Amino acid sequence: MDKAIVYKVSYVVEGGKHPGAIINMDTEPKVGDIVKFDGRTFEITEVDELMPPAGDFGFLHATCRFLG
Amino acid sequence: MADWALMKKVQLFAGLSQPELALLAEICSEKEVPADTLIIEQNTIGTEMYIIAQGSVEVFIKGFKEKSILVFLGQGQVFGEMALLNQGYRSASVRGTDEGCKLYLLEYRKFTDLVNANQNIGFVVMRNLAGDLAFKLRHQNLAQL
Repeated sequence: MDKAIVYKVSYVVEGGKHPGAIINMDTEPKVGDIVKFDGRTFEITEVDELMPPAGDFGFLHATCRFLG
Repeated sequence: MADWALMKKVQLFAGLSQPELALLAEICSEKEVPADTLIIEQNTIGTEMYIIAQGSVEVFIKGFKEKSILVFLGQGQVFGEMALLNQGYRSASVRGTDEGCKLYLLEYRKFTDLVNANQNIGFVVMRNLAGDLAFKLRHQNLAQL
């Protein structure tokens, strides 16, 4: 059985006017995924590694755009 | 007592064995926070760290003129963690968001007693704490671009 990875994700919103969010995810976020925080809906436009993985944790940075 | 299965998904505790996680879970207490409740107030003395078990919070600071939101934190994140290093003034305020949240509290004194008895827990948590602060700093830098 594959080891379950927890993805700690830094979500940053395009434009720099929203502070973004840090959220743990059970699945790796992908471009085009929809994510909700601050009561709002965003679409992921880019995903990069923020820090090297360690143990059962991956550390990602996702850029998103505001949908509504 | 905290749910140790959830604590396994908290990066601050990554690398701890199941018995070590169980020891930490034993000294955590649970707190339900109604929506839009102020949990931490900037510039007050803090003696506990919080783990988000459910829901989310907003972290903000108040300057001379206006409130500035620094970040939203969701399940598995920690805040007030500098209370585990010292018991100084809180550097920011934290409020539960519209959905409310469930938190686990880890008191500085209980944590210190535990790590004095089990130094591996202290080493792992402090190493991970440095990683968590680095992650938040990187997030903050990118969010300002």
